[in-house]
Amino acid sequence: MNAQLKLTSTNTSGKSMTKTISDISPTATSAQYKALAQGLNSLTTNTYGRTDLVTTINVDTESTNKPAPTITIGEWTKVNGVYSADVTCDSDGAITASAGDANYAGIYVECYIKTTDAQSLAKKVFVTVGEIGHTYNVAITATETNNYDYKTVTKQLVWEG
Amino acid sequence: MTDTTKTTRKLKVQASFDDGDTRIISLDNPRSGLTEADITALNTLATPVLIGDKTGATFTGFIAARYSTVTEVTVDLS
Repeated sequence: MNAQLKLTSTNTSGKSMTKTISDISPTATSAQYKALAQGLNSLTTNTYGRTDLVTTINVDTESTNKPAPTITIGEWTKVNGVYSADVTCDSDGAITASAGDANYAGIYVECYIKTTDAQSLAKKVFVTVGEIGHTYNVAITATETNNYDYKTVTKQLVWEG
Repeated sequence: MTDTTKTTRKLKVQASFDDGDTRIISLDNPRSGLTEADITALNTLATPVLIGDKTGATFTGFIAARYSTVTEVTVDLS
């Protein structure tokens, strides 16, 4: 916990001024704060005013961060020419799917991702169009809410037609 | 209009801490003719109050003080 001492005084022109002294022990007594403030002011031509102790409490934001999510991509299955794999993911934030070489003409990835526990089994990644014999790296990326970290899991798919 | 001059005078007192760190406390409108005794007389008052800004280290004493005078001249460009 950081504390500051704010000393208010008046200069010879009659102007009020505030002097802040940082890094003050928060456990000193009022008499000790006042004595130091008066002592420092005695080095000046100012008239002693009042002393205020201002304490700052630092909020630990790391406690609001969550660990990176756990992601599992199941085995590929093909139904009617469409490949799909179940996705198990405990993220409560954004989840996206992509193919490692998505700039390849014809590749298309669909991802039905639902983030509520009741719909977790509905998470699947679909790959609908590909080139026979080509290997694609399909990736699932998930981010937790209030977390700056993310997790990506990749699974290969060899398009057999 | 003519040029205007503003002079600011400060006293910069250097505080020392037992982790080897030092810190400057700057005071406006210092009295003239301050002596070493004037400064070090505050050591006892500062000991229970000032702490180091890196590790919260214990204050060990005021080790230096200097007057600083800054003169600013605003040039009339009219």
